Amino acid sequence: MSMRGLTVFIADIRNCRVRELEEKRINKEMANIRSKFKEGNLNGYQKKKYVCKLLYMYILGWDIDFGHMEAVNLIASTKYSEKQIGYLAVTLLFHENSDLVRLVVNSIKKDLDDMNEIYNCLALHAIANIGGREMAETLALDVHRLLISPTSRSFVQKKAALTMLRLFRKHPDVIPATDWADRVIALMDEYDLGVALSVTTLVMAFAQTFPEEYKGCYVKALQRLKRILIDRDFSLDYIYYKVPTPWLQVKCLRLLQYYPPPEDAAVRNEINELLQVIVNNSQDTPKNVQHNNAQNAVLFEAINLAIHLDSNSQICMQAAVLLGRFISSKETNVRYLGLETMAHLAACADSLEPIKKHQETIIMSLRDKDISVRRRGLDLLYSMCDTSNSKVIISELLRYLQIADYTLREEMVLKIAILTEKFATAYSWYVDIILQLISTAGDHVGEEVWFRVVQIVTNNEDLQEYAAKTVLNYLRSPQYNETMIKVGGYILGEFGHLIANSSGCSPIEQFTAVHSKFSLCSLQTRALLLTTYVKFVNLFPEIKSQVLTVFNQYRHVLDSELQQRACEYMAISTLPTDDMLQTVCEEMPPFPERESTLVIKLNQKQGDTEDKRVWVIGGKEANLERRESMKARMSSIDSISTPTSFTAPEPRPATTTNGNSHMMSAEPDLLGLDDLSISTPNNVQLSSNDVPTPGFEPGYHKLQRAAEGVLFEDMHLQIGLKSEYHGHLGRLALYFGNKTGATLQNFTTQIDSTEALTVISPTPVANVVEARSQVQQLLNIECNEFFRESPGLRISYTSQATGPQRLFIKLPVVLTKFMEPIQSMDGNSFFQRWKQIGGAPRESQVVFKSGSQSGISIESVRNILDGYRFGLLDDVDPNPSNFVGAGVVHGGKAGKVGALLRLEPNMEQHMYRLTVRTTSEIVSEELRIILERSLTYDA
Amino acid sequence: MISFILIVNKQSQTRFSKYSHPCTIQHQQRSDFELGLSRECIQREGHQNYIFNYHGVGIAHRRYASLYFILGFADENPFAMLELIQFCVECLEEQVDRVSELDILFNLDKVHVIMDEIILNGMLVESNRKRAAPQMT
Repeated sequence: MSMRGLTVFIADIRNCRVRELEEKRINKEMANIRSKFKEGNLNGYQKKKYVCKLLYMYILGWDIDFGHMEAVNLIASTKYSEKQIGYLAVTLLFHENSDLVRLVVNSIKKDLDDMNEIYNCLALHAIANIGGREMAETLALDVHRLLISPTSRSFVQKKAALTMLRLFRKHPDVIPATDWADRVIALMDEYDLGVALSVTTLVMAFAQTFPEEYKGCYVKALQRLKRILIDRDFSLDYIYYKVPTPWLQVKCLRLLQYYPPPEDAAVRNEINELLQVIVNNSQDTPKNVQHNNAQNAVLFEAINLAIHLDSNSQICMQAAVLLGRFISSKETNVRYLGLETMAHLAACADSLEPIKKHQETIIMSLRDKDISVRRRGLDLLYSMCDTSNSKVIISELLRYLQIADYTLREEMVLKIAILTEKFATAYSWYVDIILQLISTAGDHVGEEVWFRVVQIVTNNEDLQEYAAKTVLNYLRSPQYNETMIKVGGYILGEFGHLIANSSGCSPIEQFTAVHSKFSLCSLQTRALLLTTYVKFVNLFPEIKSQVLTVFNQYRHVLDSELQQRACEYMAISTLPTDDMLQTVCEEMPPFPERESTLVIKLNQKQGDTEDKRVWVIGGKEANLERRESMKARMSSIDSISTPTSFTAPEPRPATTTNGNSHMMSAEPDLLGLDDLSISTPNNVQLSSNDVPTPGFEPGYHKLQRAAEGVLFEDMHLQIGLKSEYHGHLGRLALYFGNKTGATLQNFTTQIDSTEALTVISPTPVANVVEARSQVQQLLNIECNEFFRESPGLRISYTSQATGPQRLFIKLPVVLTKFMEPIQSMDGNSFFQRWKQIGGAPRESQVVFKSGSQSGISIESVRNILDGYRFGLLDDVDPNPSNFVGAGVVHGGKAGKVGALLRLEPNMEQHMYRLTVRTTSEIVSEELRIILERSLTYDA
Repeated sequence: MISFILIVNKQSQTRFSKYSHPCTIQHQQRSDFELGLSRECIQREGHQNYIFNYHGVGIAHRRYASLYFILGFADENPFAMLELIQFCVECLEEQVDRVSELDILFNLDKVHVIMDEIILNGMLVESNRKRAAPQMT
């Protein structure tokens, strides 16, 4: 093993005290190795030595761009030591996308098949470290064989399990995990704990992706815990500081948390028994720090499981007591995890009482020496806050905010703002706290916080007067705080008149208070204040002259936004009548109720930084909401990720929105511009009665008979359509072309989808349509029942050229679209079927006059019938000018229905007799209606 | 899973590093990341927590003489990770007798092999000290 050259080289490098010397030595060595490699003729030992040197340089952080081939050669060597270095080099120097990986796949395959298990292991290591798609495709089966083969030694099996995990993580499509479920789960029973650990790890990954197929692992994990904890049946080597295989215990406990609590009472009891054993075990005083940590690892995982199963159980009560002890522990790690686990408990438990007992200690943890502990303390306080302790907690948080770490402040401000809003019992309290928050936190207050204050004040009339008064007081203080000025400016502009009669709050005093800070503010805030001033002009005509002076001054500033505002406000204020001013400065309407922007922001923050958790910081309801929203997201992801398969129709008439609008409403938007009617089902009912946009008919009718063309066109927008239908399924592509020179913003589409006719948009349409360009939307249509109404398409957008626009047109999807023509039927079988169906009610007949002036044209009638997908049968009717047609309507769940048609035109009188016979009354009537309309007007 | 294992000395020089896939830390940024992280760990004094969150990655670290063992993980039990470090060190001790900076440097290939025996692409393989020893020839 020893390589003198290498040792010397390492010693040399170690002796280099300065980076430059090291670089010099490295360059020298690289040049040396390069020339040796170039000469060739190296024996195995030499190759190994040089590759080792290269590896060493690589680990020191130098780039290695040669030597790969030598490493590949070493792998093929028959000597273990050389092979091993070769594999080490490959795993370190190669990455999965490197072209060179192709060179080693064969060697690896050979080693996997080798009789020598140590070679198998080396090969598995390599796959586990660099396995890409190619390896997954070529080698997955070999790895699987090594995993399940009864002849495999355990040290091969355990590595095969984790190698499989790597391949599955990288390329789940290549691994038939569901087919292997039984074999893999069975391996969890393996007596060898090393294998059991690796297989459990693999099963955990599979079970998260295929919970249903792998649900057998639940019992296995349980049995394993039982064997360890109760039967104490394990190999003694696996005891780690008196704790039997803590890592496996933790894995099993975690696996149980991936599944919902079991229904079966016997299973529940069994789990409780196990948890109890773990809790009891933890009562031993640990001998040393390792024992302590290992014990805690198992205990904390057990507590998490207990909370997951039932947060009100006896075990959880015990856990709460233990946690109480932990959070005042001397050991920082224990405090940290104690707080974290307690936050988990607070997030799930119905009663916060056991936690509230420790409120003092938790508040103290805000002053812990360790910032991570402080952060956990903050999370826990946020989770455990309710109406009874909110005042104490919030005032503590406010006090702590002044000395908190800068990194923590923004998050704290958000949390305080949310709690204040959630648990406010008195309006004055809310206003006091939130303004105090803004004034203390200063720059750490995000935009969302003051947006939200404005929303709440606007929506609660009782709050307005008090808010205006308090804000004015803050503005008067010499302290300068930009956020406070923004809130103040907005609130006084809207509600200043409510306090104008109080002493010290006269219009001019309000104006002076605001304007004294004006010159200190940023341009954006100044713009906002100018708007406040124009509202003042409207509310208090007596201070108009003072305000006009300011406008006049700002008519000449360089900033275009300010200048424009000043000029416009000046103009509005000096109009001969006040009508315009009053209209413009009308009081703001209340904001629509929606999810607080603060919570969204907070969740975003957590999403950014925290790992994937099963629960979130926050009270029980926050977790419920989260679970719901996750569910919703999951189902929407499902429908998006499988565009070709059709999801089951929803029970009630639902609306397929393009998804964008849903996301949009989650964005902070103070103005409430996005239309809420989209998300409320009531309004959908209403709007299905609304009147289609005029001018939609020509395209609608024409495209009933054609697969592609222009569906609708107006001054601004052109909608093109392409379609194809097979059986009861159809695909539509809509092309929205912007004809104007301006961008269409907030472009949304919404398509009716009913139980009978589901319309699914796999991907939402783009939100913006650039000038003179087009966007596309694909729709998948499925006919489940025979339907009459064509689905409606609602479009809304705004643009500078047009302002807000809404369109409502019908999609040319009619029942005949799902008809396949029958061309090959002779006269006999036609009439045989015709008679079988018989007359009314399964026959629908009508005699009507052609709308055409020039008389009936046989050619255009033929085109119409053809367009409606009837197969025209010639030579069936003895009269050549009569039409006979046949087709099959695919009604999805309603089954297939054969449709027969006879059309007898009377050329002299410009009349038709149309007879449709099908096995379904509805279909007969519907087909008759469609054809009658078309023949009357289109022929 | 375990995202990476680092062994650094008191001067924040990386002596051993192993990342597993999928890894959020890009290859190019690794040396900066390692430097920042090891400084953070070294600065943390005795009374501070050995488990913390660094740029969204869970970190457990322990100090052995002049070496810092740092483990990055996601979605794992932190105590179990902390003990895993101790376990790795014990395994290394069996093979390279004293775990010091020099021993690690001169036996780098061995250290890699041993670590691979314990942790395979971010997952714990073997928690039996006797069996984690690789077959060395």
